[in-house]
Amino acid sequence: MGEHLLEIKDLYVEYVTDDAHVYAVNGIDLFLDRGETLGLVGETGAGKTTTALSILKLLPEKVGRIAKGSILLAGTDVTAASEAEMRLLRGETVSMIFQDPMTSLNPVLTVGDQIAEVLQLHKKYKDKAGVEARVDEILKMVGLPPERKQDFPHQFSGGMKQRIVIAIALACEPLLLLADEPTTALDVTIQAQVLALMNELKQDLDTAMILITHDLGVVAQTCDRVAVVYAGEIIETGTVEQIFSGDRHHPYTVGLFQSIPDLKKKTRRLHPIDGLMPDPTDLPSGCKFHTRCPKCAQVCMERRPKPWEEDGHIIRCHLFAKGGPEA
Amino acid sequence: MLKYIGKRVLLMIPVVLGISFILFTIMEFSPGDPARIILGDYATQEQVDELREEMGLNDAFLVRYGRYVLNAAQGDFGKSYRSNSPVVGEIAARFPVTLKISLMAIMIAVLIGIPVGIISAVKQYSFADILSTMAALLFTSIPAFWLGLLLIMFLSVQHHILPSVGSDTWKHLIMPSLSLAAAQMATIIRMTRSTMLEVIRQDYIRTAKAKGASSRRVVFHHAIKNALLPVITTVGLSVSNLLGGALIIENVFGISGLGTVMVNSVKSKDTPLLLGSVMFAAVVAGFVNLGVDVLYTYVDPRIKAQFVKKTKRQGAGT
Ligand SMILES: Nc1ncnc2c1ncn2[C@@H]1O[C@H](COP(=O)(O)OP(=O)(O)OP(=O)(O)O)[C@@H](O)[C@H]1O
Ligand SMILES: [Mg+2]
Repeated sequence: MGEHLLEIKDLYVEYVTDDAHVYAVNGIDLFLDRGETLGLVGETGAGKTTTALSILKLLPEKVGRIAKGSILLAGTDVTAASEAEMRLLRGETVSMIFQDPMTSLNPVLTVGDQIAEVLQLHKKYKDKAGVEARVDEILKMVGLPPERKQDFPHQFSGGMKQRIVIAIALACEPLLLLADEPTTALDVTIQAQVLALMNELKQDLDTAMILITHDLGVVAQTCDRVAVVYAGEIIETGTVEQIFSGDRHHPYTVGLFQSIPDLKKKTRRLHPIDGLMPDPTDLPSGCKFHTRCPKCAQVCMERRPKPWEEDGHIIRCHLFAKGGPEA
Repeated sequence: MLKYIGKRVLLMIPVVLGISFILFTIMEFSPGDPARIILGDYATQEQVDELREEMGLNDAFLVRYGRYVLNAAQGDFGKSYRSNSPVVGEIAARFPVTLKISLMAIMIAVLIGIPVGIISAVKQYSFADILSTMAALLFTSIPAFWLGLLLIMFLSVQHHILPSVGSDTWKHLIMPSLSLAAAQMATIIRMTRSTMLEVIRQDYIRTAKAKGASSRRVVFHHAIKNALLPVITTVGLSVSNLLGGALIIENVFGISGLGTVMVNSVKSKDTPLLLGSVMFAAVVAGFVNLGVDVLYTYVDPRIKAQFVKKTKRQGAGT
C-alpha cells in the first residue's frame, strides 16, 4: 500500500482519567522509510512516548485512546487492526526499547527466558536449540557473555539491563525500532557505548528507528531526520542538516538550540525559553507555543499555523505561513 | 540457608517460653484448686492437702514454673490434671482432627481465593469483580461461628445434607472447614486482587505485550508469579489465624480437636494440658511461617540470592 514503512497521519491521542482529559498528541504527521533514523525531540510531557506507544497500540488500557488519525505500519492500519493482528506485528515488525530499563524486565524470569520468549512467540526457530543459539548470539552482539542468560535482572547493572532490553528488542530483527530515551538512564561513557552499539546493529540489520531523546548531540550523531515535538504537535521537521544548520527555524527550535550550554560563547542563561510547556489538559488556542514565543503576533493566538514546506523541511509557524493562516 | 532455618528455630524458644510464662501466671491467678478438681467434691480436706503436697503445689510460684520448664525441656510436659494421662499423648490424639479441618480450610481458601482474586483483577470493574469484592467484604465481616451456625441450620437442620456434630467422616468436616475458610478466603481474594492490579501496571508487563505476548500469556507467565509473592505471606498468616479459629469452630460443631482441648483445660484449670496444647499450637504456627519464608526464597530470585553463595562471574565490560 503506502510506500513508506511507517506513515502517521493527523494523529490525536488523549488520556481520559477521572479527574483530567489530557490532550497528549494533537495532530502529528510523520513518515519513516526502511533503514532510516528519525529523532523525536522535545521537552518532557511533549507526547513523545505517547506517539511511540500508539504505533504499538499499547496505550494504557481504558485511559489512553487514539481519538483521530491513522497509523500505517508495513501496510497495516494500526488504528483499525485487531489485537490478534497487533500481536503478530509487535516484537517482529516493530519493537520498542522502553524509557526505563530498570523496571522493563520481569524480576522473576531469567534474562535468557525473556529474550527467548520473543523468538518463541514469533516461531523464529523450530527447536529449543535454535532459540538458545540465537539467544547466545544476540547476547554477544550487545556485549554480554552468553553464560549470563541464566541470571535474573537484579543481578545486572543499569547499563547491562539496557543492553538486555536492546537485545530483546532486536532479537527478531524488526523493521522498525522505537527507542525511547535508550540512554538517559545511563552514565555518559556507557551512553556512548550503547549508542554506538545501536548504530552498528541498525546498520547490520537495516532497521528503521525512531529515536526519542532530549539530547540534541545524540540526534546529530545518529539521526537522518529530526522532528521537534511541542505540546503534542510536530512544530518543525527536516533532515539533520536542515534542522542543525538551516537558517529558517521555528522560534521554539531556536530556543531549544540556545538552551544547550555553549562553552565557547559563554551563555549565562541555561533556559532561554521562558515559561513552561502549556498544560495538556488545557491547551491554548491558536499556535500552542504563542504563550512563550518571543515573536508572538495577534494571529498566533487565534489560529493554528499551516505548515510551511521546502524540500521536506516543514515548519508550523505563522512567521513562514505564506498561504495564510489555516481555517 | 540451613543456618537461617536454624536461627529461626532457635528464635522460637524465647517465644514459647514467653507464652508459657504468661499462661502459667494467668492460671496461677485464676480461682480454683487443681487438687480439689482432681479429687472431686467428695474428697476430704486432708486428702486434698496431701495431694497438693505431693504435686508440689505448695512450692513458690517461680519454683514451680522453673520445674515445669526444666521438665518440658526434657520432653516431659506433665500429666493432665483431669485425665491423669500424659499431655503429649492427649495432644497427639486430638491434633489430627484440627489439622484436617485446618488443611481443608486452607485448601478451600487458596484454591478459591487465588483464582477469584486474579479474575477480579484482570477483569477490573466487571460484574465478576464487583461480585467477588462484595463477597470478600461479606466473608470478612461474618464471624466464623455465625457462619457455622447458618450452615448447620441450612444444610443439616433444613435439608439434612450434612451431619452437624462430630468428626467421624469427611462429611463431618465439610461445614467446619467451610466456616473456617470463609474469612481467610476473603483475605486471600483481596490480597491477590490488589497485588495483581499492581503487577499488571508494571513496565515489564508492557514489555511482555510489546513482544507480542497474548493477554493470557501475560497474565499466566508474567504477572501471576510476581503477584503471588506477597500472597504467599498472607497464606502463611492465614494458617496461624486458622489455628485460632479452629478453637471456636470445633466447639460449634462439637469436634474434639486441639481447640476443644484448650477450652476445656481452661475451664477445668488443667494447667499442664493448656500449656502443652498452646505451646504446641505456637510451635506449629512458627514452623508454618518458617516454611512460608523458605518457600518465598525459592520463588523470588531476589531473595534467594541473599542466601546462595555468590558465584563470581565475568561482567560485561562496563
Ligand atoms: N497514563 C496516563 N494517564 C494520563 N496522562 C498521561 C498518561 N501518560 C502520559 N500522560 C500525559 O500525556 C502527556 C504526554 O506524555 P508522554 O509520556 O508522551 O511525554 P514524553 O514526551 O514522553 O515525556 P518525557 O520526555 O518526560 O518522557 C503528558 O502530559 C503526560 O502527563
Ligand atoms: Mg517519555
